[in-house]
Amino acid sequence: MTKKDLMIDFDKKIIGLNIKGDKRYDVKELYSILMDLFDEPENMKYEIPIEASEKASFKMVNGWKLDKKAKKQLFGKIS
Amino acid sequence: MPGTITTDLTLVNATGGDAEVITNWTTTAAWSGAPAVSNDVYLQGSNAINARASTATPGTIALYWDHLTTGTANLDLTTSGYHVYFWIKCFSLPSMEKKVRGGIGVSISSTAGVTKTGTDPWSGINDSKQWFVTGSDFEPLSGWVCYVVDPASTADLSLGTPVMTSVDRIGIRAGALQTVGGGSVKPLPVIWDALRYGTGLTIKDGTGSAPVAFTDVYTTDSTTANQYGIISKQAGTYFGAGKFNFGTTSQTAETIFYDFGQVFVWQDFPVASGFYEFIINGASGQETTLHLGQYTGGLTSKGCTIKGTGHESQRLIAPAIVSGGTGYTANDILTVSGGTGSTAAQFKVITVSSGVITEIRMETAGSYSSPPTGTLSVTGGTGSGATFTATVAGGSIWTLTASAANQVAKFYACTFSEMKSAALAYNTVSPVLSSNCGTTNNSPTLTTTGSFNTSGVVIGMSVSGTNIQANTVVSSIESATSLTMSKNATGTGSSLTMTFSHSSEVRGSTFSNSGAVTSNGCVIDNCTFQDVKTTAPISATYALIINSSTEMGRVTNCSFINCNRAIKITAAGTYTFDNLTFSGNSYDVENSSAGAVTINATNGANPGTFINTGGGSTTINNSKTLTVTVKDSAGSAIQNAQTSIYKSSDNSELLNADTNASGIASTTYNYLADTDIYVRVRKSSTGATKYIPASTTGTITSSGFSVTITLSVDTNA
Repeated sequence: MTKKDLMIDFDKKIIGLNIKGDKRYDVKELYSILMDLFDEPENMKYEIPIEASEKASFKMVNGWKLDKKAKKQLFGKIS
Repeated sequence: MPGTITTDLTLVNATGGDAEVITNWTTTAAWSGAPAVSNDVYLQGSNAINARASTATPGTIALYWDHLTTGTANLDLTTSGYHVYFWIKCFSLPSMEKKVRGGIGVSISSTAGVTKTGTDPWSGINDSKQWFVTGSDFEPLSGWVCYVVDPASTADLSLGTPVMTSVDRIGIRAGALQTVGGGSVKPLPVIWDALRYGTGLTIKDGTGSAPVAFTDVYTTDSTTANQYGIISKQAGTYFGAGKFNFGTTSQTAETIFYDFGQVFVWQDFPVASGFYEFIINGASGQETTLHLGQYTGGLTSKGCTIKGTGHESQRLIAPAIVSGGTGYTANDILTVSGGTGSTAAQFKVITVSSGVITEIRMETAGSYSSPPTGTLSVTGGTGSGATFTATVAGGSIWTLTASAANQVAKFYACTFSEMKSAALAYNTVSPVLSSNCGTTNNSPTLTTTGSFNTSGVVIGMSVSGTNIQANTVVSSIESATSLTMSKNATGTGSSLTMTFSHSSEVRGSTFSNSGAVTSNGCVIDNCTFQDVKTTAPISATYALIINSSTEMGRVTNCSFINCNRAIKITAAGTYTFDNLTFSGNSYDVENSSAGAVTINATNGANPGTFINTGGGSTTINNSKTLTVTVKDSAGSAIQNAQTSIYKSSDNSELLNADTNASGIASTTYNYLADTDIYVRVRKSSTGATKYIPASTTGTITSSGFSVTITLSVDTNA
């Protein structure tokens, strides 16, 4: 997964994945990419969308959500 | 005794005005004990007039008057700001009527006759104005009081057509409500003495070694021969009632007034709003110095308090009918609505015509900190719809006029309150003593073969010359030929030239509950301007008026608190606010000029609000630093952490930058008011240690903003 695989609607706070096929990604990978993306200067004005609640367990925060398709394309613990 | 103290007070009549004789006094109504000259109880001269006021029917007022014919027929009391000064003592006050209905009063008439008119207690002689000055409810100590009234002011009672440009009689009114002298003792407890008109005192002379002080003024005022009544003293507090002229423009010697640690209260009498005044004047080469408080080693102390009184107990007088309403009955008591105070004023309906009020009088004067004004509505009585006007009385105010040339005013640790306005000046006086001074090494004593006094040298002047250290001032003046400096001389010498210098300045002082101070360039340092009085009788708008950037440059380290408009700037330009702090003001600055005013705040100054009233514009520059320091849990700086600051109010961005090698990201911010912010720090880019994002909130204050944020390593990223 790369940053290009993310579809982010900053207004509606919805995150989707632009991935073809049945390939699934570890939610930890999503976490790393989002953290990398949201520390860019242009994104500092947005609240962080995800945080690790415990080891390898994540949750969407600050009103951010994953779209339905993205949820199916991820594995690992995320709430 | 230092100083020459004179007055412009004039006896209303050279014969009888000093109450040494009964001549020229005429009674109205036969007093219970006829007025007679007595040398048993008197204040001024050798005698006073004593009389007894009593009622045969307790509870029903019996009124008496005794008027003095003016020495000059048709005396014009409206010129030159004349006020009437009348010494009265009544030791039967508990038996007299209340003040509101004229227990004891001062009566001024423009008719030579003394025929009574009106219905008691609203009665007096023809064409007279009567000021009710005390009564059974007002002054339990029954001491001598020199009552002062402004003939031009609204009186408690006005009868006929009194013309104050043509006064023929001035006298006393006494209204008894109880029997006096009904027993074996037959006192004459209503006593009056000197009756004068004028404005105040002139204080001149004094020297650096023997300056004039309030005690000297009081001593002269209160001699048996004088008893002017312009300054009195009780329990160590001075009470003033008139103009105090310090120096004159034609004086032929220096005037030096110096005092400290005194309390001076302006008496609450019915005087003109600009009547109470400290006025400082001097002559070229013969300057005047007014010096209150002490200033030593950069510290102020022992200041004087000068204040008005009576502002929390203002009252209503002289009601007038606007609308008579309907359905009212004589003797109705109507309570006035509105205002803030402890007691509401009440009016009494005297007469009605078919239920419409045709005559109204005071019943209760009321006690207000903020009296009702304008058209007054009332409650009570049998009718409705009546409205009135009334005059607000009470609350003494004063003016400080220290703006003339050839004078220097120096105020240290003073408190000025209930001050209508002040006009200051810069005025530098620099006497030089040429080739006649002597110093001794390591001694603070400076001697002269001439005279420090006649040279105009005063305490507080800076001293410069051979063997004199920098920032040396005159600490005390022991004699005309010897003074003590604040620092030792650095060598021994004689026939030296010394320069002395000082300017007007106000340091460590407070102006409260007052009106505007116009600096005119006066040095104002470490002062507080608080609670500009916007309501009557001061009705001010500004705390401080500044007319140029040069003037502003002499105002430093001051606070402006709860002012309608703290500083009024009248001219375009660039102004430096050096540690001028503002809080609770409607506007910190008013720019009344038609041009651009730029304010550069320094040393913690925090001007934030302004209003442009002259068509100009105002820019406040108050650059503050916002700093975020980012460290890891070991306390080491983290470089390249993305750091941002946003305003909480509108999410506008103030900072968005990477931290430097010291872990710091910073920016500048133009501070206008405390501003809530939130801070974000993130570092999760690939290729370096990643950290869990952090955020916090804070407030930008006049000191700026600084925070340290510690990041924890993110093991999930």
